[in-house]
Amino acid sequence: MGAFLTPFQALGQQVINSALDAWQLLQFSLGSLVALARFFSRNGFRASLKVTRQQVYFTGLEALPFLSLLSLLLGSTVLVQSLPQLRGVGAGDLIGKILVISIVRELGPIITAMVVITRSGTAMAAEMATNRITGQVEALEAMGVDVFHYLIAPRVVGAMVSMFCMIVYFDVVALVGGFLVASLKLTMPISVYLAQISDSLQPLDLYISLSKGILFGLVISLFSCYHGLRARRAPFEVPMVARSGVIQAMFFVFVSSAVISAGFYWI
Amino acid sequence: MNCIEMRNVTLEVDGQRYLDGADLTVKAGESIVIAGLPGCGKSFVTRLILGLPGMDDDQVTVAGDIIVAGDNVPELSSRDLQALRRRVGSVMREGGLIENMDIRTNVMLPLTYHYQNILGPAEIQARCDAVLEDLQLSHLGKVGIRPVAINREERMYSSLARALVCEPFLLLLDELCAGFSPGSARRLCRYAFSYEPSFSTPLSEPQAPALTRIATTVDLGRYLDVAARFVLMWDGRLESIGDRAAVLASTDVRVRQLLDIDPEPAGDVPELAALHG
Repeated sequence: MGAFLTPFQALGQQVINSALDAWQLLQFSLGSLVALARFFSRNGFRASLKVTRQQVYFTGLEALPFLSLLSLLLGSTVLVQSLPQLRGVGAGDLIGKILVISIVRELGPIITAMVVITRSGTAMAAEMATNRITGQVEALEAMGVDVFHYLIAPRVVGAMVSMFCMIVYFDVVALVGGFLVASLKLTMPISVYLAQISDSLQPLDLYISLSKGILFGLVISLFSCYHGLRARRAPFEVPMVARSGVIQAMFFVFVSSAVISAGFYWI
Repeated sequence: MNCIEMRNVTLEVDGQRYLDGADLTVKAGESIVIAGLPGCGKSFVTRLILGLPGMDDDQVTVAGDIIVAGDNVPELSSRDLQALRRRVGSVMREGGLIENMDIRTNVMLPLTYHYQNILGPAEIQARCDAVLEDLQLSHLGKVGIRPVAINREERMYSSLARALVCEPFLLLLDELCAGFSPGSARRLCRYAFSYEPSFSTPLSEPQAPALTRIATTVDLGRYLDVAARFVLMWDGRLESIGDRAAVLASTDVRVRQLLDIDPEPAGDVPELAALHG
């Protein structure tokens, strides 16, 4: 009987652990959101703002060369692959719609989020874990520094601002730069192309894209910081918590992206 | 007037009891040393005073009163705790310097975070320079010198500078000079127990009592010349030994054990300035 129960006990324990983990993550997120709400009004705002500027630099500006390459490749690939097919069935006018839906609504936010997760999410988690393990977080607490306000909120604000700007940048480079690259192969006047894009681009597309960007920035930074700060006392925990943060953030990004898109589709 | 009063304090962390009905009274301006064997839980005394008994996911149970400057720490809200910690200076075991900041920014951090609106950037810089100069650390005040580039002794001095730059009413020193040579240890102890910075625009009230200091150690000998009173931590309790003379005259095996770790007698130690040339 005992041997029969063991797998169920293990499963039950796993469920309990997952529920506790989710509860702790929720508590952490609420604490961070409260710090975020008081970000500008609290004492220490200037010190936190400096950390925010650094985060925008590391997350946003430093990622631009890599993001440019990705957006150019993606934009040109989608164009080169889809335009001949559409023309083949006499639907060449739909290219603007296809690009707006695929790049602006879906791929732009997701690929930007992947870039931020792999570059900044891992870095944030590893930095937080190192700070925790080496006693730097405790030292800040001992000085009366609000860790949520000084460590977490600036990273969340920095990641959200960066994601917002990076998605706009990604869309522009993918749509315009992608066309320029694709024009080596395709023959289509740029004025016609831009007219089709502007006709297809609705405010709703921008809302979807940018709201995803802000949400992903919030979630990536929160998950990374949360898992980073869960490290306790040993350096071997650093890659483990970084991995947990990355996996959870990726999972959330894909699921929430699908949910948001479906939600707007049904609206 | 008492600066700290611990009454019947019990502390359990992850099922292990570190304090068991501990009592401690420290008067304002007093300098005491808490000595005990490694792992006995001395550091928890300083952590309890700061309201940091364990890590976030430790199972921590605290009972009893820990009254610091009139406030019972276990009953304080997180915001009140932060306000209390702001007025307490602490030097952690490894210094606790923030590794991605240079030493200068580290020393200025509590001022820039808590007091930038009151003091302004120029006064903050001036305070930092003054403390670093008093502790013979001016060479570390240059922009860009990170904690990773300095030795452990300099880290502890830098941490001490950071703890004192905000004019705390209480200074907590956790294993300040563990692993140092006897000469280095005594010099650092002397600075930690005698130096109190004064600034042109003080943050504390003019009639504020002198700085209270609490140090933890496994090695009583290093503090004999600087501390006023010594306390033994044993089996989760805090037992007052008395002053320097009482420690030296003690026949208690436990006290002798903590003295014998560093049998070298206190002697003349060259000043830090002389060592820096």
